[in-house]
Amino acid sequence: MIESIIAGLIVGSGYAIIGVSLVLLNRFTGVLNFSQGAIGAMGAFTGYALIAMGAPIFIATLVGIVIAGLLGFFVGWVLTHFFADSTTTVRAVITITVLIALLTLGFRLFGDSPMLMPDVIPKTFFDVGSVRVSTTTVVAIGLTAVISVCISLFLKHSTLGSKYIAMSESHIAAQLLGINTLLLSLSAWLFLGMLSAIAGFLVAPTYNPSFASLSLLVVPALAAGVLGAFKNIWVVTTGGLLIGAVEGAGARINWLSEYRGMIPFIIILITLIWIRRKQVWDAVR
Amino acid sequence: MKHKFKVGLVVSVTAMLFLSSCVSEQSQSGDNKSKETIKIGAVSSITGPYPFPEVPAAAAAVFDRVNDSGGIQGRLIEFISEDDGADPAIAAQAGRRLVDEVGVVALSGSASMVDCTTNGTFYTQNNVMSLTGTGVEGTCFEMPNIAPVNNGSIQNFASLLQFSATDLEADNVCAVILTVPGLTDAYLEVISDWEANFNKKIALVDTSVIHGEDPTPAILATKNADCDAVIFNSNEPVAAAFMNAVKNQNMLDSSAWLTISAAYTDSAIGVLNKQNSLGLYVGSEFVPFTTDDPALSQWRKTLTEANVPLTSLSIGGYVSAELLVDAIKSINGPITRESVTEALRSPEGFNNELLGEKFLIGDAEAHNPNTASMVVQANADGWEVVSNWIFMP
Repeated sequence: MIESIIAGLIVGSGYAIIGVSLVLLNRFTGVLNFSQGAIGAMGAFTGYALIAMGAPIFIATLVGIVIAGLLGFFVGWVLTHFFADSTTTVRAVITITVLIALLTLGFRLFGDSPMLMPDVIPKTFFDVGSVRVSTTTVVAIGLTAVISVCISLFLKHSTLGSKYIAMSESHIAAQLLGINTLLLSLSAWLFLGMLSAIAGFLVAPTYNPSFASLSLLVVPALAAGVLGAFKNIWVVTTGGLLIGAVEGAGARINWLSEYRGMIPFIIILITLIWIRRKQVWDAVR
Repeated sequence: MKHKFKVGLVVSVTAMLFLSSCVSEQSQSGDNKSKETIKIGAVSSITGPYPFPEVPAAAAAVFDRVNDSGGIQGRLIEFISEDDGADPAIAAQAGRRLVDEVGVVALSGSASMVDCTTNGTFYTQNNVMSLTGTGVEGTCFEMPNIAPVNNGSIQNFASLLQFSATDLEADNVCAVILTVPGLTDAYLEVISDWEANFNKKIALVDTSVIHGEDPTPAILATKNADCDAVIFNSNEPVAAAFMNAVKNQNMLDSSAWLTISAAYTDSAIGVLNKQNSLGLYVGSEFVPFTTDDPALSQWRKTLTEANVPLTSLSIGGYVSAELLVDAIKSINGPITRESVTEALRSPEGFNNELLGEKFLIGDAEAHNPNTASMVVQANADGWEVVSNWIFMP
C-alpha cells in the first residue's frame, strides 16, 4: 500500500504543479486554461524526441521547457489579442479547442513509436523500512514545495508580484495605475507554460505517459485547483499531492482499483457541493 | 467581354488537356496488358492514428514479383490498395468500390483498424475472401470470409501463457490486461479457456489499468501475488513504458515479463536497451524476422528491392499475398471470384515457410488459421529466439 502511495505522490506532484499554473493563470488573466497540461506535454515530448535524436539530456530538457513557454505565450497572445472582450466561458472553450488541437498534433508527432524517457535528475533508490523510495519522489515533492514557496514569496514581497496581485484584483484598475497588464499577462503565460513542461519532465519517467495521458493530467490538476478554490496555491499544492496519493492507494483496494480514475472527479464534486452548501441551505430557510 | 472570352478559352484548353491526358493514360495501360488483369484489393489504415503502411506495401511487392515473372496463367495481377484512414465510413466506401465497381477476386494484405468490423458482413454477402495481412480487430477472427494470417493479440497472449507454464516452468502465471475497449472480455475468455484446456490456474488477473496509462499499480499487484511470470498486452510504445515502470520498481528479476507480438520491433529493442530494461519476452507470429533463418531470405530480398521496411508486420502482408498467389495458381480453369474463394477454402490448406503450421481456412464460420508462434527475448545483442514453435488448440 505504501509503495502505491509513494508512486502516486510523484504523479501528484505533477497535478500540484499544473494545478498551481492553472490557478495563477486564472487569477492573473481570467482564463481557465484546459490546455495547460497539453502545453507542458508538448514541451516534454519535444525534449524526449530530441534526446532520441541524440541531444544531451540537459539541452533537450531546456529546449522542451522553452518550447512549452513559447507555446503558452502564443496561446496567451491569441486570447489577449482576439478575445480580450469575450466572456470567461468563451475563453475557456477556446482553450478546450487548443487542447484538442494539441492532442491531435501530439498524437501525430509522438503517438506511434516507443519513447525513451530518461530521468532528468539521476535516479537512485533508498529503502525506508521495507519500502523502496527513489530520489525522483523526493525531488518531485521537494521541487513542488520549492516552486510554491518561491511563487508565494514573489507575489508577497516583490514589486512585480504586487503588480500581479493588483492585476488579479482588477485589470482595469491596474491599467489605470499605469501597469502594463498585457505584458504581465503574456509573461505569465510564458512562465506558467514552462512550469507545466517541468511538471511533464518530472512525472514522465515514472508515469510512463502517452502524449494524451500527460496532457490530461490537467483534469486532476483542476480538481486540486477547485480544492484551493482557485485562490490558495498552498491548498492546491497539498491537494494535488493528496489526490495522487489517494489514487495510488486506490489502486491497491480491489473493489476501487478499476474506478480510481474517478477519484479526482468525486473530489471536485464533493468540494463544489461543500462550497455551495451554505447558499442552498440559506435559500431553503 | 474580352476578359470573359479569355477565361473561357483557358478553361476549355485546360479541360481538353486534362481529358487528353486521361485518354492517353488509358490507352497506355491498355497496351501493356494483353489479357484482363487479375484484380486484388486491400483496405488498410495507411494513414490515421495507428498506420500500417508496410503491410499492403509488402503484399504489393509480392504481386510485382509475380508479375515480373509473367503473372498467373499469363494474366498480370493488378493490386488496388485503398487507405481507410481508420475511418469506418471511408472503409465502407473502399470495400464497396473494390468489390462492386473494381470487381476484385479477393482481398489480400489488408491491415486496418476498422475494415473487418465495417466490411466483414459485406464480404460474406459477396462471397469474396479477405486474407488479412494483419488482423487488428477482434472481428477479423470472427467472420466466415476473413482469414487473417497473423495470430492476433488474443491468440498470441494465450501462447505466452502456455510458454510461461511449460518452457519457463512458472508456477504462478499472472496476467495483466491493460484494458482496451471491447478487447478485455476476449482476453478474459482466452485465459479461462487456457485454464480449462491445460488444467492450470492463473495466479492473478489484473484489469485495473487502462492501456496507455501508468502501469505501476498493476506491476505492484503482481509483486503481492508472487508472480513468476507476468503476461501483459501492449502495443509497441506501451511495452517500452511498461518495462520502464518494471525497472523503476526494481522488479526486472522478480519475475519473467512477457508481451504480445506488437512489441517485436527494431525500435522497441533500441529503447529497451537504452532504458536498461532488457529481458522482456515477446511473441512472434511468424518465423522471427530478426533471425537469419533461410526461410526469410526470399522475403528479405523481395521487400528490400521494393523498399518496404523489414518488420514483423510486413511478413503478414507478404505471407497473405503469397498464400493468395498459391491459391490462384492451384485453380484449373477461369480465375473468378468464385473460383478463388473455393480455392482458398480448399481442405488441403496451404503451406508457407514463414508460418509454423499449415494454413487451413476451410468452411468454418470463423477463422484463426495461424495459431503457431515463437518467443523471442530482448537481450543486449538484440532479439534472441528462445522457443520452438508453440501450437495452440
